[in-house]
Amino acid sequence: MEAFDLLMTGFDTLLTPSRIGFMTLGIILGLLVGVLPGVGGTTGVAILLPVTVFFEPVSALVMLAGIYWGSMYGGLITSILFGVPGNPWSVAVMFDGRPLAKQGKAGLAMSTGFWVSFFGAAIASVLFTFFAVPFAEMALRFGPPEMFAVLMIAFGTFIGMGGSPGKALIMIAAGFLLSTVGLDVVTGQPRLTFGTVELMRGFHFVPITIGLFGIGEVLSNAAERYKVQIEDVTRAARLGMHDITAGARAVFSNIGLASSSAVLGFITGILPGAGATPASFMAYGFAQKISKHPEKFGKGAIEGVIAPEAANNAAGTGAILPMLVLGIPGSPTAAILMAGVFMWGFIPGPRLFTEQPEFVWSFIASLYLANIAALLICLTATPLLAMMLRTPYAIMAPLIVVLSLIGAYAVQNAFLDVWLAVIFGVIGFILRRMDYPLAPLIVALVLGFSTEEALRQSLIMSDGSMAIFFQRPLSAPIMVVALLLFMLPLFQMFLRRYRRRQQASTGE
Amino acid sequence: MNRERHVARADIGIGIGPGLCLVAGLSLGAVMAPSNALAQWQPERPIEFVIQTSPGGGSDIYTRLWLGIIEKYELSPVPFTPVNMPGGAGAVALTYLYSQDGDPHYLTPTLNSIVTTPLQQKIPVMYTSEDLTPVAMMTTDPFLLWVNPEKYKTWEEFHAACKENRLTATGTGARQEDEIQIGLIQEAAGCEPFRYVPQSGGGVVASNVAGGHSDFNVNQPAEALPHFPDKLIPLVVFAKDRHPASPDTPTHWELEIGTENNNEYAELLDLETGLHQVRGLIGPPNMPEDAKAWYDELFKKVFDSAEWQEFMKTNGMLGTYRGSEGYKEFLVTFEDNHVRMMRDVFGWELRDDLRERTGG
Amino acid sequence: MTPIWMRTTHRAVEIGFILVLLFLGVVIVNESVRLGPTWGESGPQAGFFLFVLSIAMILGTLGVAYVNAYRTPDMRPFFEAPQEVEDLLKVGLPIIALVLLIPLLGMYVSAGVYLAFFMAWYGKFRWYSALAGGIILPVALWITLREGFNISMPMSAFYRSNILPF
Repeated sequence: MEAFDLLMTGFDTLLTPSRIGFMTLGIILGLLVGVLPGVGGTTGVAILLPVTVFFEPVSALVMLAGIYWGSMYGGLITSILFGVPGNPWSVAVMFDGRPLAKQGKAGLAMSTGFWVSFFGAAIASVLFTFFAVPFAEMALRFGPPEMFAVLMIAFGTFIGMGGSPGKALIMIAAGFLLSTVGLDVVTGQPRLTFGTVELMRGFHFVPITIGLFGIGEVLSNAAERYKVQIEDVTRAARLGMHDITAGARAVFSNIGLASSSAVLGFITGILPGAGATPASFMAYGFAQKISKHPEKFGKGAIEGVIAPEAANNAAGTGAILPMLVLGIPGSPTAAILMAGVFMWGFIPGPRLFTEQPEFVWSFIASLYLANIAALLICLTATPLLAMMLRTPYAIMAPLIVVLSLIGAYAVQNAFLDVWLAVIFGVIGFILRRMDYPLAPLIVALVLGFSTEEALRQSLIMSDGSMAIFFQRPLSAPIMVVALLLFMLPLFQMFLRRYRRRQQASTGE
Repeated sequence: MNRERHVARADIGIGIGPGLCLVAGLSLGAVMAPSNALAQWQPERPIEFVIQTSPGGGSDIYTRLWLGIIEKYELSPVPFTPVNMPGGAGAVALTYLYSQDGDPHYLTPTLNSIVTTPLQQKIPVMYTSEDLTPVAMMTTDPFLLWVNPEKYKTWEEFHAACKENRLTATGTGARQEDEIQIGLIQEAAGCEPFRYVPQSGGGVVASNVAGGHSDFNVNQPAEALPHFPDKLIPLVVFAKDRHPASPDTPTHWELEIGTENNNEYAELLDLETGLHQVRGLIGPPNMPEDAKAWYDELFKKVFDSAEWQEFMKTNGMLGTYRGSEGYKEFLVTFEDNHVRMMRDVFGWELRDDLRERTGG
Repeated sequence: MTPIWMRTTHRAVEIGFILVLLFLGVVIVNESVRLGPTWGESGPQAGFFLFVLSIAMILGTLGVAYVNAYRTPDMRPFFEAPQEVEDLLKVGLPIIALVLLIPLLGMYVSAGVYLAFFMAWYGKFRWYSALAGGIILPVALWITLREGFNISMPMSAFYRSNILPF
């Protein structure tokens, strides 16, 4: 139990009033940036990186870490309340969290989200504490072919997810195509930019997501106001502390799903370049695949909140691991934290554990403390947050619109993105009416770039041979699982036909 | 003192007493006295740091550290606002900077894409040294060749292997500095054509070599240091002198890489006459002289600060500060070298409206 | 005579959408041919992905067109009641006005004007409540974004000439 003793010394280092104060300040700032759509955790940590020049290392690190954890919690608030994701990894939780809010269960959705975030982070922290080195070694064995195989699993989980197959195909292809705009990953040629510099920045998924969901929802609600008014629905719902216990119960009764999502998220988070966003999508897809009532997903299934939130918080914790242990940042946020580590004169990597144990272990201890603090802050705020939905429509709708436009602009500081959000808002309104599934489009748009990159990198390594995916010891099994996932809907179809035929024959 | 100021700022962010804080914020800007009397020009509103990458990208991190130093020593009467404009390997940020003609409230922290991108993409900027205003140069770093020690231990082993088989190289970006440097090594050492695997970030490059997925990469020490010496070792440093962070690594001159034909490739591989990672700052076209002087003074102070010196030391970076004129002079040679390599040596397609420069 | 938007069916909207997608598909196929749509010496060329995806999208649209416009057309009206169109325009047009206003007045002031207008016009709030909303929102945004987190937002047309600080 050497790790345990070291962790205790970490707690000792951390438990001074000023350090706890900095951590709490970090968490609150993190919640705030997490709530601001389009700003999110990465930017939040980046904004506060200059502060590190002022502080001693441990205080600065726990404050930055606090912002990071805080933003992991804060992102789900706007996703559920307004359908405007505060973080990229809070997109998946919106698929079901938003419908729950529209049914007057915003408080339940949020408190479930907070509880399961905590649960996911806790599992990840324990894994982090005791198995950091073996997991880091595993991360190093993931090259481009393995990344591609993992991304294929992520897509595989979204195959056959409701809606007409033709419409789903259109949406996936469109999402992928949007992600290809910009400079080609291998040759550096501009693609689909038609000679303009504006399009060279490509289509960032944040303005598009904000448009399709945030503004699209505002328009849909406007059109349906003559039938249903959302503030009446939420006013009818009873608010109070009971949502908090109900949230805990919801997590508890889905403890298997929450744990497996957390482990899945943690492993995905460790992989360099993968991070929390694919983890949350994958967990969502799996939750639907193994669910007894998959048709409820997208319409307010609580499992659709539990799985992605457990996964993304676990992944957020996991992304820190290769940074500390190997010096590979698993995500942009980890890259910024790593710059901080350099700034204080330390070099991340195996030597950090032996040369600066106090620093490393107080950071790991901050995983535990920050999550407890974030959970407490969030749960206390839940009823207040849910109350926000009772704001009169004439104030609420413009606020959502303003937040959406600010978020769309802030990602790339491009005014074009503001127009994109509005245009995709209209498109989102129309597509929703015609039952086009929006989730596949977002998933393809978010993961499209990495998928093409990983595929083409692998094929350069193999001189163009697809066999590379099946020859390597790690990518082969992952790829087989992905292929099985792709074929699963076909099997299910045959099975259903076979059963129907049997029923028909016995009926005669 | 500074610490308190910053915490106070954070409180404002939480929104306690909004009205009062707004008044405080506005008057703060008005009362601020000019911090130095020497320079003529003083910024009148916040200065925009137009960053070419997303938050967390290479030049973003350096910029934010400079920001911290500027704030800590109160070097500027106005805040610097970081503005991330990623896209097109710097094309978007450079175009934006170009459109701020003559307004010194905009600065872009540079990396080498400010040279490689405008030579390939049709944007208003073509030669950064002429079309924009170089402001200050903060570091020049030589490239080192990194391999996994389980594969090769010396340059001789590597060289023998590369003459026998096609090796796989990896680096940041497509048709950018890493690919150029790798192509140059191939030409200079007479290797079989390398496979080049482009990555979107520096950390992933190092871990791909450390994990054995690619055979080698070229990089400054910073990103490789965490894996040193178990998973990554440097074989060659491309400079006249050995690198202080790794004194046992021979230079390419010692190993006689590219010294045929009157040092044709060796000069291009070298830190002083050829390629290297340069970080500095550029401003919009036609920046007034007194603004240049103001920035020169400011960034010299940033450069000399204990924090930046310390950061360069842990990162194994080499610092040479140059002001506006020195940086410009340097960029001209740098750009000409790039045209020569990209177009004449590798036969890449540069933009079809490329201006010819005399004396290049 | 019912107005045209009340006579528009789901089928008509679907056909319109499909035509747009088909047009985009053709544009993208064209672009992919320029970039090289085939398999090169070391894996796919720059246009390969575009080519495969645009073909997939076109096949998808044709499939959807066959089912939804020909075999089982959905003849329900796209809008169920005139009230829907009215509410949609009342909410949608101010958003467009807001986006048009931002380059002139900047994000902060435009947001305030938009909120105040919408509160007074759509929500029938009293003028002083609307005014209060229109002042509190930009101030809160300024404090959080500008003072707190140092995040840049679109500024007004008078910012660069130093006439206004926002």
